[in-house]
Amino acid sequence: MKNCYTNFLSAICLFIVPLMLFEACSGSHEEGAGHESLLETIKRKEKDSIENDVNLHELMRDVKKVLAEVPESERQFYVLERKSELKSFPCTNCHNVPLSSLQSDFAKQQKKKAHWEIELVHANKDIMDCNTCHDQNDLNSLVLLNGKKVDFDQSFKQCAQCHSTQYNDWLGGAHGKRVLGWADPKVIYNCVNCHVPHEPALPTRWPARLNTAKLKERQSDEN
Amino acid sequence: MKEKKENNKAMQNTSGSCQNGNCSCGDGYQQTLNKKSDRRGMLKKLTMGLLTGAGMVNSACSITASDEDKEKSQLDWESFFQGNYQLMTEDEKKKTVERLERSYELNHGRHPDISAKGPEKDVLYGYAFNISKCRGYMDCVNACVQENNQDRDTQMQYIRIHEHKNGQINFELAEDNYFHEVPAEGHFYMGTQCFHCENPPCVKVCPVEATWKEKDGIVVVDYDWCIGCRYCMAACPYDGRRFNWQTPEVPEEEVNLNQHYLGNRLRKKGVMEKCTFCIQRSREGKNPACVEACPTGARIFGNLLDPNSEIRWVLANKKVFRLKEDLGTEPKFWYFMD
Amino acid sequence: MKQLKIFISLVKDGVSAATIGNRTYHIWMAVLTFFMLLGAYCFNIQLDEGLSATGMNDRVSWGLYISNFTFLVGVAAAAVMLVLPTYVLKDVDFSKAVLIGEGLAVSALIMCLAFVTVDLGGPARAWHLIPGIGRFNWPDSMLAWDVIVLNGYLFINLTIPLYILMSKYQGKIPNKNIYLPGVMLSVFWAVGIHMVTAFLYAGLPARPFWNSSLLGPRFLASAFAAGPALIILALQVINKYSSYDIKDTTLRKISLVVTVAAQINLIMLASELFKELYAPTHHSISAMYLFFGLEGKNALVPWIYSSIAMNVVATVILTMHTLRKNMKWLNVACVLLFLAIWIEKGMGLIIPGFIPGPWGAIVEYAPTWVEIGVTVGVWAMGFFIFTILVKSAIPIETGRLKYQRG
Repeated sequence: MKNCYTNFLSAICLFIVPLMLFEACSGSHEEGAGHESLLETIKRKEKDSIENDVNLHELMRDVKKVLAEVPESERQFYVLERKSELKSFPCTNCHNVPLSSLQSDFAKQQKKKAHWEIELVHANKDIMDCNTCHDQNDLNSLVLLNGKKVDFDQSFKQCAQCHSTQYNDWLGGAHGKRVLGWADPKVIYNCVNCHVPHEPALPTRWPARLNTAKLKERQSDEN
Repeated sequence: MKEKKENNKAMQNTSGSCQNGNCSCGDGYQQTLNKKSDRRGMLKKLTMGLLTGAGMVNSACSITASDEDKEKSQLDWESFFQGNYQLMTEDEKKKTVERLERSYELNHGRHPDISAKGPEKDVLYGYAFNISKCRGYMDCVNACVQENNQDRDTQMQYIRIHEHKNGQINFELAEDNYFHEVPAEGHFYMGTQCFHCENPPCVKVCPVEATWKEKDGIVVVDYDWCIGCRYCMAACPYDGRRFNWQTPEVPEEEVNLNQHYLGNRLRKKGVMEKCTFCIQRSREGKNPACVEACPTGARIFGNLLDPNSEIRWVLANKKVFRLKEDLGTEPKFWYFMD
Repeated sequence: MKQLKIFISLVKDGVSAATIGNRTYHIWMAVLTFFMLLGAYCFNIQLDEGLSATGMNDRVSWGLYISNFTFLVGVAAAAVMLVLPTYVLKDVDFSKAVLIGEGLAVSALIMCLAFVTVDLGGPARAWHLIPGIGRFNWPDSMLAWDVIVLNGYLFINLTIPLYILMSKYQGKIPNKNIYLPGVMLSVFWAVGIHMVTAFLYAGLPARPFWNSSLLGPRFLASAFAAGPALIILALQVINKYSSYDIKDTTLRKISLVVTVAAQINLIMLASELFKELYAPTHHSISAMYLFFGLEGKNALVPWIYSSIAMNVVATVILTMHTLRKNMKWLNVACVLLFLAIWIEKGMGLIIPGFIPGPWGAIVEYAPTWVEIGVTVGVWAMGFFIFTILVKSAIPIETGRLKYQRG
């Protein structure tokens, strides 16, 4: 009689314990994935051509953008257009006479003082001055170190001359960021959308907020 | 006062369309039981009786209630018996969302746009955080709170920015509620939020499957199914979950009406919520609000299954790491440096 | 049909037996009722305001309720200590205590379920847990397991005594072949409920303080100390106030169980302390907080030291034969042990598990009055149910109350 119960009980134990163990092992893994790491999962599931309808074409319609001139990149992408953002572009609106005559006009109080607020805080003064980037002969465009002209919209080329690491990161996506979202079309912020070219370092400032509730929660315990 | 209101609601339910048996409530029952409607009705009435208690006694008052009030309570009633979102058919999802929209409209006078958009094919979301770039501005925190309609009263925040001293990554010694000019000399900054683990411990422990990982990798919560046991909160090693200890309050003019059922729609007290990579945005192809708001480009978001995506470039070309990797949770949130 | 009639009659007689008593009994019940009402009032406040009415927060997200739940699961499981020898080893000494033990298990389980319910953010949505209409994350979630084992255990502990009482009520001798399998099942089930409850915590790598393989065994050891300790005290009260005669030998035997369990519990405590403190790692930080405090925050320190002190003193008393055999000393030891383990489960286990938080934030926890009120209310409800169960079962068990045909 007693044996019968013990058998009954061991049967229950034998049933329940493996079930729990099985559960502990099988857990939440997906279809036969076993101990596949996340990277392996990504590799297994990745697609060369993504088949879905997510895109930002409609939203991007109103975004002023230009095709980036990056011949070395396999994939076409856009950068934000710059020229329409500049207040007094084209520069030749004013710079149609030699600089010296503009300066003398200013001395005669005939013209407003311009660009007076610009202080160049970009590299060493011995290395960079206005002429490093602005084409003295054609102020409507920028100039590379080799003398080639660069459009204001493609100013990243100019930055790339010195900041090649950042430029590579920017092309890859580790520096700067995408406009609106992750889906196509790829539009990225131009360097000058975040960095003021004359003073490219980001400023220090106060944080956007202080969580006073958190502060209270932690302080109240000290009493 | 509040109690009275609730009693009223309950009474109206009794006298409302539910009693005559032709109400459309309860997709939860339909899905899980496929019971015949009379039996469902009975069960419903039984539960209702238990719930309303004394409120039933003065049920006569309901005659004076306006049609709008009746509709309101009818909607509340239906939402009570709403089923688990995972089990709903597309049609049921649509109906549920419509009901939620209508309910909000009745209570607040504005019509929210609640989406029930499912995961897209060939998408697995991933996130990278550049600790060289983050400067501790906390613009992301602000954007997140506004986008996701988080409770302003308790200042609930999904994102924490930890200020570390140079030379150590030790969260115990870091400060996540600093208020001084940033970046502070000799410090660096690291943001944490829900990491949308590929092997999420929070999902495993939920007793009612109110939280799960979507096909595109986003870990979501069905706010109407969560019972508020907070087991997931205890199970999360990353402090990624938040609980509504009281009724969340968002000033009406600040409510973001562009919502998703699994995302930023308004929550109620006693339920869990968390970062959803702004599901209402990301599933439309947009970046989460934190990425959008970041002025330094420290936050990178994208599709892990697209070999050409920025996130994949970071994984391939940067030295990345994740937090508490030894726990085997496989976060889809990486950190890296320039 | 006939059985139903007998059952109804049994309930009727039981209720009338439970309503008759002397003045002390009525005062006792009145006091319990008062506390139950107080608890209901506090719970109402909590329902209205949300769980912000409690001391819990995003950092310490489980508090007094879950602590008490954990402790009471142990008390419920301990009933098995009495069941096993009585039915299986045919040890007559225990038989009289068994009914009390099972009554205790039932009331402790109801308290457990009540504590879980009051802890929920949406108790109205608790129906999501009902298999069939709800959605049950079984077998993944340990909480789902817990719901099953607790309700199963409640069912077993209700049906077995009910069957025995029904038989005795009709003047029959209960059929062993019917109740013994149930008893055997409940023995294993009791171990199961406590292990599952321990796994609830031990299965969380996010909380290194709980993520220990010793947690389950330690739960059992402490439960088998605290539960029978309570039974020893309860039996003496019953002995004093009722006609139910419980011999000292029964108490002695139970006290032996308590002694062994308390000793094992201390060994495990020492082992845990050694592991945490000899070579402290990053994962020992919760233990550091518990025993020494961190960053000037040390709310739990006095609790844990008083718990350990009580534990040690009680174990020493129990270990010495002369003291254990002295009723007064035994009672002192039982009270100390009960309190020590109650503290150990709450202030010594659940709360420090959350401190510091995953990112090191130290937020201390203190229950609010609302929370304490609800807790007291649930305890009062437990005692109320226990009293009624015992009061109505004793006359049937002793054969004074019998079914009258017609």
